[in-house]
Amino acid sequence: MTAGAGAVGGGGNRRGGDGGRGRRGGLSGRGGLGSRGGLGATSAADRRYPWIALSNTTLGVLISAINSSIVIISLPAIFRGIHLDPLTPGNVSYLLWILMGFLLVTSVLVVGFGRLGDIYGRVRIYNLGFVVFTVGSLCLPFDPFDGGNGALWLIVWRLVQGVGAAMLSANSAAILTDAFPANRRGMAIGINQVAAIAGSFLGLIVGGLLSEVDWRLVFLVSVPFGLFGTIWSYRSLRETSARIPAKMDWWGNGLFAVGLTVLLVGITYGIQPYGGHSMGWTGPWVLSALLGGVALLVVFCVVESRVASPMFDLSLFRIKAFAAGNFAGLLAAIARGGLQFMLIIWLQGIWLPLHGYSFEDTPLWAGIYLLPLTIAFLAAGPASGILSDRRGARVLATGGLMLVAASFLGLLLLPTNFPYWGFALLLALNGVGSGLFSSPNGSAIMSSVPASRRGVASGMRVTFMNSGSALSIGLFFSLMIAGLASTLPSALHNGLLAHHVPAAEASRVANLPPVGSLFARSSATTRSRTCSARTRWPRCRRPTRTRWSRPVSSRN
Amino acid sequence: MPPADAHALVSTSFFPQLISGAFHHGLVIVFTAAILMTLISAFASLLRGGRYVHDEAGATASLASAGAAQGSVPDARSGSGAASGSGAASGSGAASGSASVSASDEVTGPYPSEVDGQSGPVIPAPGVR
Repeated sequence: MTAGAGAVGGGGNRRGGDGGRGRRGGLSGRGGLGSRGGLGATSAADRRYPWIALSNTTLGVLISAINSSIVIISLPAIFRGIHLDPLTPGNVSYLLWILMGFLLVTSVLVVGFGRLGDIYGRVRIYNLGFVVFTVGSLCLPFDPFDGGNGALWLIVWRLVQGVGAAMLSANSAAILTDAFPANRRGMAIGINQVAAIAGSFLGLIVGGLLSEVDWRLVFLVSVPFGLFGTIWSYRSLRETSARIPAKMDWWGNGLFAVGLTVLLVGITYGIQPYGGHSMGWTGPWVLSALLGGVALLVVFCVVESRVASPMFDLSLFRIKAFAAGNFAGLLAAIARGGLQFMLIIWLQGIWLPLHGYSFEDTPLWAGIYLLPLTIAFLAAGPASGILSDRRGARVLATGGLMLVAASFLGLLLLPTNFPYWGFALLLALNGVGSGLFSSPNGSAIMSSVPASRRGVASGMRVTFMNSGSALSIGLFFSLMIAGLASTLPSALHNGLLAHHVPAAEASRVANLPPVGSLFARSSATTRSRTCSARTRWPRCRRPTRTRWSRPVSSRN
Repeated sequence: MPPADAHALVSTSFFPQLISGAFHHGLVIVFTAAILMTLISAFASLLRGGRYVHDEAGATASLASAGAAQGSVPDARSGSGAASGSGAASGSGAASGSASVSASDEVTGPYPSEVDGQSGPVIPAPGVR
């Protein structure tokens, strides 16, 4: 969701600050071409180059951002396509990993690929990112397997896609910083960031639209753009910065990757039933994964304070503006990521069916009904960025977060079957709040560090945001299930009994794990189309065409 | 099962209505957690201090002296040359006067009122590696 939000605001607070000064500090070569542009002695091709770099990196960031969210909305169609029942508890982990794998890989690798770009050339790593991304996108739709193996195929190639997206987003901001003079960098990186966030919302609509036709199109759509981007970037982008002989922090990268992955695995399996509980937080594997993940991240911090060129420069946390901004950014990313996921379940599962939308149309309309969020964000983000250049980040960012909190409170008070205008207003409030927060916060983080630390600071910032997004899906999913577990079984039981469903059948349905029921709501909406009144109840729950391959109660 | 009940069960509204109460209970938990996280985040954001821009004059000066950026002062004018004590490489503390002025003009100069009490104590810069 935040892939490619890169070094937002890297240029914001230093507009005009270093124009023409060229190289400073350790990030050699940033502004190399740009400073020539500032002196006015350039050929036509040189003058065009920044715009080529901007449009190319915008494409790269856009397709990676679209792919971070396109799957959220089209998961039902995908599971139907590979004939996997996502409702059995064991299969929920497939569902979560198809979603989270991409986010996890981008958050873990973005700093490493940024460093590799500094060492081996930013354009080289960026171009390779297009290739890797396109290969991943090409393999995803041609899934030769069914069921669990089919899901594993998707998870693996989603990880490959994520590697490509990490390469693209890690280097796009640096390529722009190289290509544009300082006084236009804020604009260039701003456009790049708008593309990254617009892409994550665009993905919801594109995914909804394509999954109605065929689930394979959800992945196939990236291929032509990937091919075009690969050819275009190899033909047009050029290395304008000197390479820096730096060391790769393998220990840091490895520990961080393993630690975060183990933690996410623990959360994923904590959601699933264990023993007599509806969730598995007390299971020995879950506990050891959670504790082990945290322990590995602690070891990571220790290692980072020792090695020569760490991926996380812990000494930067001594800068109060940097530490506070990153902490706020991490928590805001967790809250925001969960919101998107929950709103989609809310719309697709309850609100749209209640308003007469057939199940094929719910993904598309869920995307459309979430538009106020996107539009408000796009309006508030740039305006707030400009304001923060004058007024500082504290008031804007804190005020934005208070608006976000207020919108959550409003959503909490909203009835499940809400009037749309109220929902739209709250979404807009949330979008404005997020926009007010994100841009100044990123800008404040970036301008609080020495120029020589901008590369590592930008990487740390993106890592915090992407890790927040990855963590939020597992976290909010488990919170939702905790809520369902306490009230859903009795509601199901009584509701079914009231309609003369046999008691045995009613209690069997009611005692299925809440994970299943959460997704059963999607298939439930299909029944009106596929079952006639004369059909016996259990048969009736087996629609010929369902959002999910097999509705919950058809398992006998 | 009576046909009327079967019909009700398969309508678009039955199942969503059935789970909506439980779902709302889940939403309350989810959004309460989101509110708490956002408020903590807002508190952290409040603690960030006033407008704080790393003094690039120090970085420019230190380029000449082959040192990393050292002078972290919120306002280049109030703390001119006040490079942090901890690990300040020799030379970087003496940010050249002209560079210091230009930095304050460009970055913090026009908005001195936005710089709050941070200008006194200097935040330690990251150490040299």
